[in-house]
Amino acid sequence: MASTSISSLPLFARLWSALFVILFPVLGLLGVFMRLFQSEMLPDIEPSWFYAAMTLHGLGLVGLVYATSFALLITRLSQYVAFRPSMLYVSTGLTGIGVILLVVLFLVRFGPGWYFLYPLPFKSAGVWPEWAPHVFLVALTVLGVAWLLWKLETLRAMAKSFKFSTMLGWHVLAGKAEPSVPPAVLVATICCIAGIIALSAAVVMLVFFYYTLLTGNAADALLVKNLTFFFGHVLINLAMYQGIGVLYDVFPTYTRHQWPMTKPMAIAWNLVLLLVLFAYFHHLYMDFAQPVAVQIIGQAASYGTAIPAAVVTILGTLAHVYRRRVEWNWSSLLLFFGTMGWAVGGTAAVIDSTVAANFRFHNTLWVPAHFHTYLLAGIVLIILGGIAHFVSRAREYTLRPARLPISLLLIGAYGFVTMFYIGGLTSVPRRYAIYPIEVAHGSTLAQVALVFVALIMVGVAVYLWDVGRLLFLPSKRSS
Amino acid sequence: MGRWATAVFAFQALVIAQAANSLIPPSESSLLYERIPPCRISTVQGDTIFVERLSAQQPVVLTFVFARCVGACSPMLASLAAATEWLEESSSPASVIVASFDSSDTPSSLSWMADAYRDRRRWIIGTVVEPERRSLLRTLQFNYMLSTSGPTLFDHPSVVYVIGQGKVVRVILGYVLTQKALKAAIEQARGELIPAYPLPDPRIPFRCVEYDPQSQTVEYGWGIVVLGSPLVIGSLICFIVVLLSSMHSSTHSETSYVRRPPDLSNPHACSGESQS
Repeated sequence: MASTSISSLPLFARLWSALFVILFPVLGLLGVFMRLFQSEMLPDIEPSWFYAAMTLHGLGLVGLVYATSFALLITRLSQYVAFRPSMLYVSTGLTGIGVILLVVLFLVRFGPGWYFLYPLPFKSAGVWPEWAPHVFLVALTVLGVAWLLWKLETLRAMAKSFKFSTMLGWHVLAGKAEPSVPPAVLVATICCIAGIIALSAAVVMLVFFYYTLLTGNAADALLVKNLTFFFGHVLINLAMYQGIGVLYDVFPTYTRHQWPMTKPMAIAWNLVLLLVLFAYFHHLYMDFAQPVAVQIIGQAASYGTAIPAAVVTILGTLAHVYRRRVEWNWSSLLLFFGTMGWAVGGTAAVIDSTVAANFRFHNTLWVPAHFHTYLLAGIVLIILGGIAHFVSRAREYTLRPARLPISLLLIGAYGFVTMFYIGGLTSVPRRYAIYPIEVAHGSTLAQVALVFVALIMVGVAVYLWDVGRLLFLPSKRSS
Repeated sequence: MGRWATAVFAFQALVIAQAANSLIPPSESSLLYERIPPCRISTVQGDTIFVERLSAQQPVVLTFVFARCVGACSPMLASLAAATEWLEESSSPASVIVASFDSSDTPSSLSWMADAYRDRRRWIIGTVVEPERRSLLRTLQFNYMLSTSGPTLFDHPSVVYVIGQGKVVRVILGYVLTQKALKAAIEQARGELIPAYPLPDPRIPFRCVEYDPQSQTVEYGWGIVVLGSPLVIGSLICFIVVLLSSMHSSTHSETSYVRRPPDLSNPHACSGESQS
């Protein structure tokens, strides 16, 4: 199979960028629907639609963010290694099939939530048809295969050009400056290894789901929950890390200051590989049947993953802009604020991963608060910044600073998540379509959140007009 | 003749099926946090106790017996007495209600029980006032039927309900009761967090945690090993991919790792796509 040249990859990046700018607003609107529902503005709609929307909104956006950040990272990596395009497009096609199946499931109100905790998909309570769990498992299988192929192809492509120890920056740890390896390769290697392990967990998890589906016998709910978070938690973290890989490669373009692989960076990312696989235990603090040791590991690993992120990436980004003439535009601003959003959301996540705090915040709105912070105000901004960079380079288009729309995006995003944080602090539970009288103020918070959503929508609309539409214009070469 | 035999057989089968159905023991999973209906107990001492009000103030352990029982009632009450002995010395309030489910029983017909357990200060023995008896038994899924062993005897489950704040917090089946189980249930009724472990189901493969009901101990099962398997499988896959790719690679050298280092002096050169 022939390896790709650089010229064949832009189509791949363009495809995923286009998918992101179309699907992000659409899936985001499902979130708006949910907040409208919680605001009691849609009294005539069945609550089951809320849960179906919650499932597609969560699964869809996590999948979209993960896939797009990886596609952008692959695009950046194509400078250094050769990919086989057929593998990339097969994965893309399979992802498309998986997404179509999830949309079909939404239409029949399949709503076990985006965690789809075992055995919820099998407990329809008369809402979704009997075939829905079958289709759901097929969708998960297809998506799992697609993303596993992607990871394997990326690891193969890198291993063909780099020694494994070099990919992991071990030569830097040994004090050697040469060969120089771009940090994006290090990040991609970590993401591939952790991703393949996480997707292996998904395979084992699916075996138990299929076991129940085919035999009617129950599997151990605690084991399946562990496996679900093993792969789910790692995957969403990798989505973020893949975005950071793009940041390392793109941001220096605007700061005109190199971001080389250094010893602290190599140490940090190797630590991340070790810790990210064990941090997921913080999702199971309430499962008191778990060994106490793993709960301790969960808190320690959660704290541990924050240190490399803060020391290398966040301080690194700040150092890049401190007293430097930075070319601020759509791309650099979004990349910068996306990284800072990751820091803010990460702090809230670390708070929630503390056993003493989790005891209070578990299953309250604090949870969507923190993950919306590092997703909406974090990785989404980084992806939008990456896309803006890609489009501007492909079209030789000068991006404008866009301070006003980015301010709207930021005010909207932080205002939106603040309502979640207040909800969490005042014990408003998550995943409630209708709030009981004890936490009726949750509806008021949802109403206020909608005002901030409007600001986000204006910011996104301006982005789509300024940047997004360029993706759909005919290419310059053909014109 | 054949038709009659079939009809009789079918009728018998129906009766047996109905009998079996009427003796289904209460299900804890469906009763959990079920609010008990308002009901009164006429005690052997002549008092009237409002169960719902009492449970709002303190945990209530409730069990049903009948006065003429020659089966499980006596051993169950003996077991309950042993399992709740610690309550007598406890400073925290809690009550044990032994109520008759038989409508023909009167408080005086239960006096032998009161005599047998007169040293139990926290016990309340009596009958449930009609018509509240029916709704209480229905709510608590307490099913019984006339026994085949005697005309005035009943087949009934041995069951203990632990009630807190007017709601069922635990249902313990069987006439052998342990202090540990009852103590945990009473503490749960007080609002304390008590871990609950499901009984082992032999059909569930690879459980993370195995619970032995005999010794009431928890052990870690093969599920923990399965949980570690993705780490091994994934690492092995990575190793094989890297190994195979390295074997087929001819580009590895100490100086040619980066094919196209980004030219930071030219922002356009940083993106591969612009060079196409």
